[in-house]
Amino acid sequence: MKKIFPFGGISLTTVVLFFACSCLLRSGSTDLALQAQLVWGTNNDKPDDPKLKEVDAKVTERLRTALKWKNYFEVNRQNFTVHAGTPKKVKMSDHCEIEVDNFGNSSIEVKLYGKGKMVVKKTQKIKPGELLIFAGDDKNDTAWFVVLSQTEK
Amino acid sequence: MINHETELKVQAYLDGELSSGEAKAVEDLSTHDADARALFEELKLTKSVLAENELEVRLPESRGFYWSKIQRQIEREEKGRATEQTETAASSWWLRFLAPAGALAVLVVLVVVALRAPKGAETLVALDGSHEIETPLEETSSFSFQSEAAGMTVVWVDSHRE
Amino acid sequence: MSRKLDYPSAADDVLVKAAQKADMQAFEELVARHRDKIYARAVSMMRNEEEAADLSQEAWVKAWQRLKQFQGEASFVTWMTRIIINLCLDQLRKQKRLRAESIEQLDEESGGVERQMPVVTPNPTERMERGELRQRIDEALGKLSCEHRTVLILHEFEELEYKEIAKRMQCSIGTVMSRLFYARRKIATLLAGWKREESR
Repeated sequence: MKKIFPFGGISLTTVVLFFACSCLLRSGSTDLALQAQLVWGTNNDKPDDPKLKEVDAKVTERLRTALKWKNYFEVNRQNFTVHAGTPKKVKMSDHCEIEVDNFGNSSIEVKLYGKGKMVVKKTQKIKPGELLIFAGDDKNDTAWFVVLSQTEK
Repeated sequence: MINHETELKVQAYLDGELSSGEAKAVEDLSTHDADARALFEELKLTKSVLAENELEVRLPESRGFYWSKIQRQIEREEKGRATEQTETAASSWWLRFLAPAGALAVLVVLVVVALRAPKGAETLVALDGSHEIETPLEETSSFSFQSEAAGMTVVWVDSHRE
Repeated sequence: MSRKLDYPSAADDVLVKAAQKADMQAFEELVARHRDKIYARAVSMMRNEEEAADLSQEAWVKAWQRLKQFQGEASFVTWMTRIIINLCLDQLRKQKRLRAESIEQLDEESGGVERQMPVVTPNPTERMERGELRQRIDEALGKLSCEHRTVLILHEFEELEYKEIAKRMQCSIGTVMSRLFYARRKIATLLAGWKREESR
C-alpha cells in the first residue's frame, strides 16, 4: 500500500500542530498596548509654552542617563492598541505622525512621518519597560522626542 | 573696521574659494584697507603654520599585536556571515524535510487565526533583519544607539541643512 | 613558477590589487605602512587615544570588507583617510547627543566670540622650535570645540574644500566658513598669548 505520509511525517505534523495551536491559545491576543509621548528636551528650566508639563520623573531620569538635555516636557501623549497585522497611525502633532505595525511576539515596525513624508522606519522588538525613542534637533539647541513604550492592556 | 561678512570673504579668498570677480574685489579692498590686509596676513600665517606642523602621533601597539586584533575581527565577522549562510542552507534542508507536515500545519494555523482574529487581519509576518532601519529621504539621515543602563533605543534623525 | 610578491618594497597599488584577491599578507603590509597616519587622524579628531585606536581598527576592518569597491580613483591612503574620518564623524555625532557636551560650546557657535579677538601680529611662532610648536598647536586644537576642531582638521590637514566639508559635517557652507574662521583666529590668539607669557 502506498503511504501518503510516512509515519515520521504524521508525528511531526502532530507536534507542529500542537505547538502552533498552543502558542496561539496561550498568548491569547497578539495585540500590543502602547503609549507614545511627544517630548521636548531643553536645558532651560521652563518650557517656551507654559502649558507643557514635565515628563514623569522616572522617564526623565532615564532620558538624562543617555541624553544631554536637563529638562523634558510632554507636548502630547497617546495611548493606543495595535492589533497584529493592522497598522495603526497616531497623530502626535500637526507635523508629526507615527504608524505602528505589530508583527507579533513584541516585534513592531514604526514609521515616523514629518509633514506627511516618511522620515524614518525602524523595526525592532519592544519589551515591557523598554523605550523606543525617535529624536531630532529643534531650534536653540533643544530637541524633540517621540517616546514609545508598552503599557499594560 | 571691516564687517564679519567681509572677514569671511577675506578668508575665502585665502582658501581659493572665491570666483574671479569676488577675488578681485577682495584684492582691491586689501589695497586700501589696513584691517583687511592685517587679517589676511594673520590668517595666511596661521594656515601655513598649521599645514606644516601637525603633531606626529604613533600607534603605541606593535605591528604584530595591532595586526592580530584586526585579523581576528575580520575573521570573526566573516565567520558570522558564513554562519548565517550555513543556517539558511540548513533551514532550507529542514524545510524540505518538513514540507508535507508543515503545509498541513500552516493550513490549520490559518484556520485558527481566521476564527480568532478580528476582521481584516493578515497572517503573521516574519521579520527580515536586513531592513531594521531605513531613511528614505535624501535630506535626512539617521543613526541609532542603545543605552542598556536606561533600557532604551534612540533613533536620531538628522536633517541636512543647506 | 609564480613570482612571490616582495611585500615591503611593493607599491601601494600593487598591494591593493593583491589584497583585493584576498591576499591578507598584502593587506597587512598596507596596515603596517599607514596605520600611524590613520591613527593620528583619529586622535586629532577624537582627542582620545583609546577611542582613536578602536576606531582606526574598525576602519581597517571596513577597508578589508570594502576593498573590492576601491577602484583607484584616489590613492589608497586618501581612501583610508576618508573611512576613518567618516567613522570619527559618526562617533562625534553620537556623542553630541549624549550627556558629555558642554554648554560653553554654545557661546562659540553664536559667532560673537571671534569678533573680540584682535588681529595677531607679528608672527607668534617665530623662534619656536619645531617640536615645541607642534606641541603648542596640538594643545591649541584641544582647546577648540569638537565642531571647530573638525572643520580645521578637514580643511588644513586634509585639504578638503568648503563644499566637501559641509557635506561631511552635514551643515551649510556658511557654517563651515564661520567655524573655520573662528578656529583659525582662536589658534592665532592662543599661540600669541603663550608667546607673550614666555617673554615675561
